[in-house]
Amino acid sequence: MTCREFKDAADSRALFELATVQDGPIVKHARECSKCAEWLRGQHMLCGALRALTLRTANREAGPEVEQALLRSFRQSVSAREVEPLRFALTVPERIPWLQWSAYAAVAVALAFVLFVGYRSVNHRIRIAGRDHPVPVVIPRVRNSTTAKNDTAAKSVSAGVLAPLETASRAISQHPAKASDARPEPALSGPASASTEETLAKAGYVDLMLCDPLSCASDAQVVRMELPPQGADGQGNQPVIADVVVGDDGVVRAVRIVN
Amino acid sequence: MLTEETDEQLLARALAGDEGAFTVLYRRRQGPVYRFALHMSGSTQIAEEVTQDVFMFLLQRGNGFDPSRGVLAAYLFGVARNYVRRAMERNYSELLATAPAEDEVNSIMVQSDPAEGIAQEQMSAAVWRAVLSLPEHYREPVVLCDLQELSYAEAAEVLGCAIGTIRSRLHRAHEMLVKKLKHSAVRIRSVSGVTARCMS
Repeated sequence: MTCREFKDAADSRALFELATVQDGPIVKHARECSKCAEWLRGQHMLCGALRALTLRTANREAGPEVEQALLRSFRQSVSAREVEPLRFALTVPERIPWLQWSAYAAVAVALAFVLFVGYRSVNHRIRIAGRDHPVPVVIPRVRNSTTAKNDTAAKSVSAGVLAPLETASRAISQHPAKASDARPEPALSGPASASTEETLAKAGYVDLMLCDPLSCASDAQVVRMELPPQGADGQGNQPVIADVVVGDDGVVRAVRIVN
Repeated sequence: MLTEETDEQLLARALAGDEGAFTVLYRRRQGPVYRFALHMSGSTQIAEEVTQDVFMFLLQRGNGFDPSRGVLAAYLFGVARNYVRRAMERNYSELLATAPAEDEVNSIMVQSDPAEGIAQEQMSAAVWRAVLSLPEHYREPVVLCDLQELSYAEAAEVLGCAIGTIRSRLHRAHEMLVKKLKHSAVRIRSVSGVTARCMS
């Protein structure tokens, strides 16, 4: 064994293993080589010193105060962990996606409802305000009129020709209306009932009722009706044609005698 | 029985809030951790501080321990190594001023019986001084392999390096220690000779 092989063999063993080697190539070489023998003695001395140090400090441990401090910390951490589940329970809705989305949907529905109610409220206020501030209304037009005279009448309506028809109203009261040839007309524009009344009056219509603002604000239709002939007062057997303004509630609001 | 459970089982139970398991684990592993810190620093104050810090770390971040990467003992040494380094950097000036290592080393001789093997005790005190004087990267393998009696593989795991690196560092460290001890040995032999004559 060469000195290099001796060193390699010695290095491959732990210090305590090397100290316990009593024979073999390592010891044999150390007997032959004084330099390697000196090195081996140094290793033995170091091993003995380290072993002595290990034995001397083998019973050294941390003091009891360290253990007590650690146990205190342990208990604190455990008690802190017991609070954790409560915190988890409070935050659990955030962790379940469908709950979260349901909450969003509920908020969206509530928002939509509030907007709808708000719109309705604003719309109603506008209608009420419309009574004080007239808004132009579409003049009712008579569609599919039976005679050219009717067309002329319709034109006169649109032209706003005034014709006092107090007698017509009287006639209507004397002769119940017969809904022959009654054809529904396009709806009048709803808002601004006051303006509508005014326009109807200008067109020769006679109001038949004291109009409630709310009901009169609703849509109305013009129906052409044929009233029974008036024979009793000597006006002949010719039927009376009248345009009747009927509200959505079915109540007649105004009437105009056409012929 | 808790004492029959492995370190890993005890740790799992301790992290689940079992105080008994934590106590058993602490009592089983605090000694090696304390002695590692003591051998590395030469200061009982640092050793106690490090021991406490290591087990506090285990309580707080014990979930980070992965049994597939090594045993708990090696993991604790690794944590202790970092805390020792920090403590020594922090207390370096204090260590130099008060020389606690010297006190610790001398306490060995005071506690022992002067009639038996005083030379060996002086030698162990001398070797401790020599170990403390080693650079850290040489001191660590000496403390782990020679004083804590870990295998090369375990020491490599603790230090995060190859086994060959441990072997070469140990070889170099032993060379340096032997050189230092030879100087001390002459003095010790002369002192022990005088003591032996006094005793007789």
